[in-house]
Amino acid sequence: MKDTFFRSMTWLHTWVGLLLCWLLFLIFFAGTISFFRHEISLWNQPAVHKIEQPKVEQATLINTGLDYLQNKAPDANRWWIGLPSPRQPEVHVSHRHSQPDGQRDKWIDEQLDPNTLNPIEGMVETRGGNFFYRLHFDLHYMDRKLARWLVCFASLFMLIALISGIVIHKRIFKDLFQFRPQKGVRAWLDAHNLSSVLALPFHLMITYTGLVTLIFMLFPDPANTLYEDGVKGFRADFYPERQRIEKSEQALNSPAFDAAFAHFHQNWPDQKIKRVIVDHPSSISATIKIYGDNGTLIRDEYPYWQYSAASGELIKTARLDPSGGEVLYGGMIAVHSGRLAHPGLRWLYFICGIAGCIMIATGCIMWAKRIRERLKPNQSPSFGLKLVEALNLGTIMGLPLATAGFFYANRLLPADIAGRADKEILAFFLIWLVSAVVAGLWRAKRAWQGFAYLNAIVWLLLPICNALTTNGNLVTYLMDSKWILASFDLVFLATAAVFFFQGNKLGLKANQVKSTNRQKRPAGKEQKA
Amino acid sequence: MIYSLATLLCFSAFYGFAMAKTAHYKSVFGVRPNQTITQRFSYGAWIIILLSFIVNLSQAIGYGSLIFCGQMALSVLVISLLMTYKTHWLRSLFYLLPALTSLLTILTIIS
Repeated sequence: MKDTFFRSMTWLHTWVGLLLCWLLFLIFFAGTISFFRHEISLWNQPAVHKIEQPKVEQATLINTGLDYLQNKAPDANRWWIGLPSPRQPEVHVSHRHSQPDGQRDKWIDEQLDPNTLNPIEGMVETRGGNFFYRLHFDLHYMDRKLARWLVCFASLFMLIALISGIVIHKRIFKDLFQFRPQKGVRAWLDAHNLSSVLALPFHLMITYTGLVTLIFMLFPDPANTLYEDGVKGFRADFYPERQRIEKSEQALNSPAFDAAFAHFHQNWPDQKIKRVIVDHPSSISATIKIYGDNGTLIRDEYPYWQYSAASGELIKTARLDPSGGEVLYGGMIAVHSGRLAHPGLRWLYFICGIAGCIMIATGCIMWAKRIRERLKPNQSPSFGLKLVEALNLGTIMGLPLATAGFFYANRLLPADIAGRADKEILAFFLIWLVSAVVAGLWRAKRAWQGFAYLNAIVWLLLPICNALTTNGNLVTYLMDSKWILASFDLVFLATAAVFFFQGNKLGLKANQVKSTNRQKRPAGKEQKA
Repeated sequence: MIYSLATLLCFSAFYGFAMAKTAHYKSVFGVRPNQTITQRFSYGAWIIILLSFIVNLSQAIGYGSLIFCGQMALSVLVISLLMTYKTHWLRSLFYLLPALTSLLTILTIIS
């Protein structure tokens, strides 16, 4: 414990912030990108770029999906129909098949054009935005449970760092709007304060609600107390639609899909449908699960209706009139995921997420800079400082480079290569690994400048790569009002510009330091003489 | 349209908060503000930000609150960047913001 409360808080803020800051940067970075998860998935599938928003009604799309699956996969154990949205114009028709010897069931995903109602040709295997979404809390190659525990602790550390930060940076509200780029370490502190304060409600909200999404890992006691099966029992109660339905061996000859949907549309005429799932479609125990669309309501789980496919009768509903607890829990998760957001709010989420990344990055850079400033002239840096500097460079500059690599891999890998989606992800991690190795060997200011220029070049060339490998480019996207695709090219160009600006600034600073050292040296010699 | 108006109001409010600070006012207008000017900017900013919050909430309580948080972040970011790199632009905003807000209000009422 330090001698004063203020000093204790400063110590806490520094070490809690530093210890997991690179992991936090990855979580924030991947989370920020996954606010545009469906848009990235759209960009990664050039075959979908030409698909227009549906002009036919939802009922027609559902019937087409059911007919398609009936012909294509009558023996599947589950059908899944995802209806188009402004973010995803295609109809997803997926079917799941049981595998022998207790292996995981296999999903086959297909997409239909919502206007011609035909399968879309030329789809490529890609994880799209789902990769960043999963990376945000599953950390990819790691064991899922371990990864979530790590993310839990990182979030907890972040929350502590935020609260202690508010306590120690007493002047953050007084110094609001203040950024002095020419003032050395002070400039980093200004950037840290500004990026923290400008999105402070967002940082607090996203960290707290992030913890809530994994709350039953950290705090399972209430569920364990209330339910005999503990968290499992709670989940069975909270998510009735996820319960396994036993399959009957008796075949279903004439499914009553029409009767079920007629009942649904008659009783809930204004309810938009998000997705339809049919379990055991070939069996007499087949059930139709209809998930309603929440629109911009702050709710995470969708309202749900379950019908018997044999009789068309309504079996059960869920969350049509959610309880206070359901609204609170679902609301927090909805606010965290931002799924409810329209484009305007989505961009605000993105800006705040970037502010979070800057806050974490400036925090860890500032720590290294301060320690380096305290070194005596002939004192060599410690291993800890070298490690922090290498991790800073490898993470802060390596992650954007790896992300660009992921996009390049999507465009440049052959369409028919086996395991294409995994290879895109491998490209991401390989580039990040190479960046980390280079950062470990070369940590000078010039290395930061080198990485900044490299990032500028790769992000600048990305729209050109896109134009050369697909049938569209920025001009055609703007002319055809394809705003999502145009935004990608504009964001790539803006990112390149930011890195170019940063590279120039770093170059200027490096030159200033050199000239200051040159001026100091003769004076030192004179003193010695 | 209504959310654009709320964003503009939020931006105007933070412009007011920034100008209520002596150092920022001096760097924009070249003179130190007197007590009355500082107070007017400060009170004005509080009233306008409340108005912005109300406009957002009038659309949807939960969604409006989220948008309001985002608008605040965006406003602080833009003002801080202008304050650092294009201080003289903020002088023009003193006249431009009320004009734009009035225009947008009229357009919102008409539409």
